[in-house]
Amino acid sequence: MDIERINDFCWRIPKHGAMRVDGIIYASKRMLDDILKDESCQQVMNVACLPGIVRASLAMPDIHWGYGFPIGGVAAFDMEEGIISPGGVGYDINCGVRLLRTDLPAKDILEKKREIVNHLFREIPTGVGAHHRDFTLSHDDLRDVLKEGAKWAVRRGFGDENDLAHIEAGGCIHGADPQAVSERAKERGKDQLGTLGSGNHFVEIQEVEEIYDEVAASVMGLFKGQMTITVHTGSRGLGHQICDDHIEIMLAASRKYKIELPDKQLCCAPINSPEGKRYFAAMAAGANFAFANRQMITHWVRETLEKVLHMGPADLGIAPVYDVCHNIAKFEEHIVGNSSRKVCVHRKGATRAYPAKHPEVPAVYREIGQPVLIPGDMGRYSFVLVGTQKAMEETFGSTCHGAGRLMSRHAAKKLCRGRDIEAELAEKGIIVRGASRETVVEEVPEAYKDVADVVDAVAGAGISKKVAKLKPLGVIKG
Amino acid sequence: MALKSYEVIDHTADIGIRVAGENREELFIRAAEAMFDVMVASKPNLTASINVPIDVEAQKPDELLVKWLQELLYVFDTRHLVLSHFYIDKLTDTSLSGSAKGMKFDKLRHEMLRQIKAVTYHKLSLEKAGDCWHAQIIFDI
Repeated sequence: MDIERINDFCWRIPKHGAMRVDGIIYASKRMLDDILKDESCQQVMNVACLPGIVRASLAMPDIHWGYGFPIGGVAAFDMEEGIISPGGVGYDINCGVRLLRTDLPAKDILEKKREIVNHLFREIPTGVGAHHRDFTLSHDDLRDVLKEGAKWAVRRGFGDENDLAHIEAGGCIHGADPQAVSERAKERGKDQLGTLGSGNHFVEIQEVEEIYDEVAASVMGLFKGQMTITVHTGSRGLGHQICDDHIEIMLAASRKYKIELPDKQLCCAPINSPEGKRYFAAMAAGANFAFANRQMITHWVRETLEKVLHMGPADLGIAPVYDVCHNIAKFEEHIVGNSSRKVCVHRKGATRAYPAKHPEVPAVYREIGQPVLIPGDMGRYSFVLVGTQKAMEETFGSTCHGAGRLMSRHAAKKLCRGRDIEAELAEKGIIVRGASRETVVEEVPEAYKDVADVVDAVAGAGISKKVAKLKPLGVIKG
Repeated sequence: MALKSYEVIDHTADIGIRVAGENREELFIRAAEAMFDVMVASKPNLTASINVPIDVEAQKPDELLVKWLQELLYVFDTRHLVLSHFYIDKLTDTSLSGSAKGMKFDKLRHEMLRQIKAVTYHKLSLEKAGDCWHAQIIFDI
C-alpha cells in the first residue's frame, strides 16, 4: 500500500482506483506500523469510495479493524450528493463516555474502594436480563425517552438541569422519531435502560493523577488528587436492533440507488432519500436512549456513593464534566473550501472535539473548548482533552475515542492463560469486578494500545490538547 | 458442545466463525450452535424444553444466514433463552422456516462468556466447495 508522510503524526493514502478522496491517518510512525498489520487501512480506502464523501476518509490513531467502516473512522458527506450509513455509526448507537467530578480527594475513599466497587456492581445492572429492581419502563415512557433523551431522565428525577448543560447536544439529538424505531428494537431495549451492557463497557472510579492545563482543568472543576468517575456505555439492545433493521433496509436501498459497495456492511442511502431520512430519525432516537441510559447510571452512581460514604449530595459534589458520543452521525456546519456548508459527519469510534468559541460548546466551556473524554484500558490511565481550531479545520472537529484494541480477544485469552488478572490489578491498587471472568481476561490491559500514545498523537497533530490524566482505582465491567 | 464444529476467526475487535456442513441446512444449524457456543458455556445434560418457531426471509442466500442468526440472537436478548437445538423444516435461497429449542438463562447452569451485539454482513461468505458448504460470519462484540 502506498502511504505518504504528511508530518510526524499524519499520513496520506493517495486517492486511487475507486477512491473519490484521499485517506488520511493520524498516528505516529510506530503506531502506523501496527495499524498496517490488520485490514483497517483497506477500510479507510473503502469508505473513500462512497458517494458524496467530502475532503477525505479520516482515521484517528486508535483506528482498528471494524466491520465496514473502521473503528476510529470519521467521514463527512455532502447533504445533496452524499450518503448516510448505519455501518458508519455502528451497532452501539451513541456509545459514549461521561466523566463525573466529585468534591472528594481520592485519598479519602481508598479504604472504602472495594466496598464502593462491590456496591456499584450490585446497583448498576450488568449481565443477561439484568435490570434495576426499582425501575420499569412503560411503552409511553420508552417513546418519550427516544424523543427526549437525558431530558426525560431528568424530568423523572434522575438528575438535574445542570447535568443536561454538560452533555453533548444537551443530551437530546433533534430529529428523533420513535415511530422510525421498530417494535422489535423497542422490545429489545425496554428492560435495558439504566444497564451497563458487556464487552468494553464499564463504570470506573479514578484519581486525577496529573494536570497538563491548569486553566482548562479548573474550568472543568478538576484538581490533582481528586476522585472522578467515568461511565462508558451506549444504547444497548435497542441501538443494536435499530442498526440491524436499517442495514437490511440499506442493503436494498444500495441496490435501488445503484451504489457500488466494496463491503456489504457499508450499505447506505442518499441522505435525503426516504431510507436515509428514516435511518437518521431512528438513529437519533437510539442516541437519545443512550443519553438517558448514562443519565440513569449517573443517578445510581450518586445514590451508591451517598450510601457507602454516608455523605449527602452537597458534600459529594458529583456532577458531569461532560458526556460525549463516539458512535454517531450528525448534521453539522463546517468550512469546506472557502465556504461554510452543512455535512453529515459520521464518527465511528471517534469523538467530537470542537474548539473554544464554537457556539455548540456549552457556555461554561466556551473559553477553553469542548471537553473530550478518552478512556484507556482498565490497568493504566484515561485522559481529558479539549478540542482545537485545527480539529475544526482538518477533521470536521473530531478526534480519537479511546485506546483501541491491539490484540484479538482470542490472542488476549492466550496471553492470560494461567494468570489471575483480577489479582494482578489488585496488586496495582485497582479493584475489578466483572460479570464474567472471560470479560476481564478479554479486556486485559495488554490487549489495548497504550492510550498515552493515542493521545500524544492527537496532541502532536494539534487536533486536541491535553488537560488531565486519570488513573483507575476500581472498575466494574459488564 | 463437546466437539468444536467451527473455527474462530481472529479479528482485532470482534469475533468471527467459519463453519462447514454437508448441505445448507446443516451449515445453518452449525452456525447457530457456534454462535451460542461463543456466547454461553452451558453445563452438560441440560434439558431444552422451550420451543420457538423461527421464520425468516432475505433477498440473498448469504443474507438469509445472517437473518437466521439475528433472529436467534433476538430471542436470546429479549427472552433470555439459551438455544441449543435447531431444526430447519424448509430452506430456500430466500426463506427459512424452522424452530429452535432451549432453556432460560440460569446463572447456576450457564456462564455468559461474552455478549454478541449483532451478526454483521462484514466479510460475510456462503459458498459450496466440492461436497461441502462453507460460511464465514463476523459478530460484533
